[in-house]
Amino acid sequence: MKILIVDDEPLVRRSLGRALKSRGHEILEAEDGAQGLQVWREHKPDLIFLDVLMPRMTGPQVLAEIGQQRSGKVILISAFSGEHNMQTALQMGADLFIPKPFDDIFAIVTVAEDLAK
Amino acid sequence: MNLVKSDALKNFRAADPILWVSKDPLPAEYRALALTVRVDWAEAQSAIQAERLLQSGRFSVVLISTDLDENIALDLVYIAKVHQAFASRMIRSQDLNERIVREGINRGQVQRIIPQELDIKTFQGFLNGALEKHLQRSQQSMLLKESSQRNRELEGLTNSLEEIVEERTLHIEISHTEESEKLSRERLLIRFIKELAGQGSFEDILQVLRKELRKFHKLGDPILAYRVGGAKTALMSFHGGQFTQSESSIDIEFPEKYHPNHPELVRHFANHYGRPFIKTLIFPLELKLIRQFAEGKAEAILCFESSLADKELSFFLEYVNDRLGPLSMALDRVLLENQLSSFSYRWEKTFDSMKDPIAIVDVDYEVIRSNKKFSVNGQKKCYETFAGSKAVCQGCPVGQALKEKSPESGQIKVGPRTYQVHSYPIASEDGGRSTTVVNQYVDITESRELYLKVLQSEKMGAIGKLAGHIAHELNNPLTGLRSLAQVLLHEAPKGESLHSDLVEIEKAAVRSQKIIKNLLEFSHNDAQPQALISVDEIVEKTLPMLKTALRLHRFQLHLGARHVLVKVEPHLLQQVVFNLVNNACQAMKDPGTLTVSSAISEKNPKMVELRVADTGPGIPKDIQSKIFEAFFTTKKEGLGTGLGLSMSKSIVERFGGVVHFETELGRGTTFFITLPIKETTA
Repeated sequence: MKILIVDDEPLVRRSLGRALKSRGHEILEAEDGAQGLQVWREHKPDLIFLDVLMPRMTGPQVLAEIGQQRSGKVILISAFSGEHNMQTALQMGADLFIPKPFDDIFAIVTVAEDLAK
Repeated sequence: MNLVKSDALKNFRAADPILWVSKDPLPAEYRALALTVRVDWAEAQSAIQAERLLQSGRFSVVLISTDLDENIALDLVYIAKVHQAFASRMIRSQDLNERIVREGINRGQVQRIIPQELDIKTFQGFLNGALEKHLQRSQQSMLLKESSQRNRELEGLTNSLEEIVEERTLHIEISHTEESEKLSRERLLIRFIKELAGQGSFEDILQVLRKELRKFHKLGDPILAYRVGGAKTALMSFHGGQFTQSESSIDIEFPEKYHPNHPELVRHFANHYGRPFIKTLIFPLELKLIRQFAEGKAEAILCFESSLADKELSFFLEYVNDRLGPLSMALDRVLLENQLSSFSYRWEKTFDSMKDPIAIVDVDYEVIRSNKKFSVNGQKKCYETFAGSKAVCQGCPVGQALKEKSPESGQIKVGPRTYQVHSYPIASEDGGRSTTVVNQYVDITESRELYLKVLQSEKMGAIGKLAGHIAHELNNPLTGLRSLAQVLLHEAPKGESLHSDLVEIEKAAVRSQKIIKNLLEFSHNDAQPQALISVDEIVEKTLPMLKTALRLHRFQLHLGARHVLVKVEPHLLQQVVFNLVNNACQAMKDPGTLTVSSAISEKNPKMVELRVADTGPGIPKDIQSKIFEAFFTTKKEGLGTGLGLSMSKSIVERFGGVVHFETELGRGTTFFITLPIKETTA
């Protein structure tokens, strides 16, 4: 599977990327919303991890921008649990909402694989 | 008059008639004689006729013949001498005997004795001589008369001169008496004025006046009536020797001049004093000063009942008139003083009724005047008497206000209370440096507390927001860190030190996340729903945040109340635990032991008790009563807000609990929180 991780926190990209790679997936990374949008359009990944709060463009902005061109499933991840929840995430067009911090990275990976299957 | 007399002398050539006394008629030749003086003849042929003529007429020459009888002739000569002193007397005799000559000359002082038969020429000569003699005598007598007249006049003049001198002397004497009377009058008046000057009340003044008028027995006691500024008329008098003072709504206009009887006023007095009034003398008094003060509305009259007789009355009027001026001035002064003191009394009342302490303080901080709220305990300096301090209060604005000549304010602390002091410099009259200020002390303790509470809640709000941001910022890398550790753990072979290191890393990340979560909850500012929770759980949730505070001390935890639940807002009770533990740790300057324990209260099984005990120095007695006061802190500036314990207390009390402490100097302090148990779980 081709998976795009859009998060400004390198440790998140790194840990998530490693966990997914270890499962044999192809990983694309972007460190902000604008870059993420570009990569998304170029490579049309099967699954996108999209952070909410990022420089240049936020996750919801990226979602709105890509609109009809979007491909693959979208998991919205956020550390700021107060603002978003599953309901708002779905309204914005995401397929899943996962709040940070993650208790178990591999559980996340399993959930993501199931979603994009 | 003199002129007439000299005229009489000039015309004297017409003389009085010549009297012929004889049995014989006057010979015609004699009657026809031309004499040097124009003269008529009169005849008397009997002694009786002669006597009558001599007594009634006036004659220049009297010729008496002895042919009537010698003795008769001599008597007639004598009568002539008596009645016709100026006439020349002659005796005509037939035979000159010695007796006729002697008696005629001695008794009758005859001029000549002539024979009966005499030639006409000789007779004419004799007559002319006699007439001449008469004229001489008459003239002499006239002169004599004249001179005696003059003498009399002179005498009169002298007399009148003497009278004038006497009169003048008398006048001088009178005016001397008058002068001395006047002098003594003035002296009395001066004494009266002096006496008045020393009096400070209407009563005193009226008493002086009463004494002054004591000599007028038929005079009643003085009645003083005055009104100032349209107020009621004040009436003052004496009743049975006692001073009386009353008010009346009398609006009768006072006379402007002395009035011997004012029926309207008299009627009013009679009504007011409830007794008949006889003739009443009314004197207006001029109140110059108070009139200016009361915008022209000030008048007064002095009244006396009088039965003085007219003679006494005029003296009395004069006497009183002399005294009206000084009396007016004295009354004027007293009225003004009263007015001023009533003003000052009113001001005093005004200041006393204010809730803030107010004091006039001079440049040396000495209290000049103050209201009742500003307690004065005999000490003069404001900081001594008001703040109980030995030096100028910190924050006192007085110095600045005097320096800048403008109102300044500052905050001072007096015991537990905080005052906002407003210092208003009192402008000096010459516009120079002011040396006194009016200080108003507004107790702002409550409002300051309120302000600080607001400030605190704003602070807490800000901390909450900040904590939220920090939590978010930390959550991201912590998520990555923990996830990465998990990934690496997956790859690392178990049993190797790398694996256990990664386990530690993940554990640390988990702990961090927990702290962040608690911090978020703790700083949560919104009112959270109350929850049933055990005190033990609250403590456990709070302790991770106290690791730093506890790291220097030995920590003992004895939780034994997990099965009883209290109803609280958990994050608030967390704050209380945090505060108590944090305080206890800070109280122990040297490493000590901190014990947190929980149990059902021994005194009341319906309560759960949480104890936080330290082994610090204990709380000194003098501050024990203050530690729960807001903003009381023993910590250095910037380290404590002085709110921790006061907030803790109010939180615990909000949930129906109590906070108290036991302390022993050198041994330590234990704080007790007791909260009602709401539920007990198995």
